[in-house]
Amino acid sequence: MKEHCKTVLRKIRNGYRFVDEMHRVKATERLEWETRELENIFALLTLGAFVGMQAPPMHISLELLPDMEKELVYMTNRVSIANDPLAELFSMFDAL
Amino acid sequence: MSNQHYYFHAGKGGVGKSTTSSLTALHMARTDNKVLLVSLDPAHNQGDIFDTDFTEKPKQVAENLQVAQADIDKWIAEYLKGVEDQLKANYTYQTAFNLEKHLSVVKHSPGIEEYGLLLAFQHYRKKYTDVDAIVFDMPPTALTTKFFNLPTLSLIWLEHLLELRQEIMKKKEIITKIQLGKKEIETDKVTRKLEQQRQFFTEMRDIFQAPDRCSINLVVNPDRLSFAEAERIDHSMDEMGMRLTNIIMNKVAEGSTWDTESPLLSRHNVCPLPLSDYPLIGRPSLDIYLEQENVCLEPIVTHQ
Repeated sequence: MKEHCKTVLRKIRNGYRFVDEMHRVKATERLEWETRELENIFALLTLGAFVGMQAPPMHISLELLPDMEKELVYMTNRVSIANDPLAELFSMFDAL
Repeated sequence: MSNQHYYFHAGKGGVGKSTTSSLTALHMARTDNKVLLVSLDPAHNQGDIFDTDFTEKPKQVAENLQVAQADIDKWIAEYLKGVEDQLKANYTYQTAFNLEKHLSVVKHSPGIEEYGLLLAFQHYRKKYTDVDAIVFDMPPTALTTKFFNLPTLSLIWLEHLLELRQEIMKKKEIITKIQLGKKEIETDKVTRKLEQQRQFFTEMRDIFQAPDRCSINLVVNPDRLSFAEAERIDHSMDEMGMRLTNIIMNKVAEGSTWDTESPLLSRHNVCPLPLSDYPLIGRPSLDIYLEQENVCLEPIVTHQ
């Protein structure tokens, strides 16, 4: 009987944890997306020169560059993703 | 070091920035000030004027006077090497490798040359704290204006970037707090770098805008072209929140005429320097020139 009670309690606790975690993730989803976008704007502003965008004075970008690998990789990935549909579109025009 | 004074000699190419800066430095050294004369001009005319070779390490040329020649290309190369080393230490091999080709062209990017000048300026003022005054022989107008403008321009960017970064960090903090149930304080390296840069450029801007720490002398010749450019420099200095200290009118010959209505003359002190009959090359000729009665360098010497 005691064992049975313990199992039920554990299950309730686990269930509660799962629901709590799920709600926490749900609650921050939008905020995370917003943060990612802000980080992307920041990367574009500071490291934009590396993907052909207007940038702040080069020494500011260079000073921050060593600590922004994650942002740089993320930005270059986004650039390549963004480039693909355009490239396809123009290829289509070539074919016509 | 807070009492150290900086003198900048700026002006159009060929007006005599190097000659007037060497005369000013020598004059101050003769009046018991310990002076360092630094050439930031890539033309490096100080070697010709003192008739000796100079390097980046100051060389004694007279009592109380040392002269150095800053190698701006070397400053830029060293700075980029530092960035590259940090990249290699922090980045994965592949990303660092991909960036190498970009970095090799960065040295030709706009803004890098004036940053090199600023690094050289900072080096001499931090390293030679025992001198009373440092006289800088500046490059021609365009680069000098960019040099003075760099701190203000950089600060505009830095303030904006810091604001954005702080917003990101605040949101990240909220996410961690909600997800983990506790607040984790993360020190952001990027924010720290931005703050360091802001501190550096604020210090530079404050020096350039403080008349008790920095004197910007504009060298002109008594001719129309020179005056026209000088008026433009004066105007852009005003826009940057800086004020010219003196106008050094170099090569004033007998019968020279100039625009007496020019706003330059009504707004600033003028030091006329007569045209020399002999080439101003070597210490002895500079000394003889300074002993002439009509040489007026007095308004420049304000230190102590």
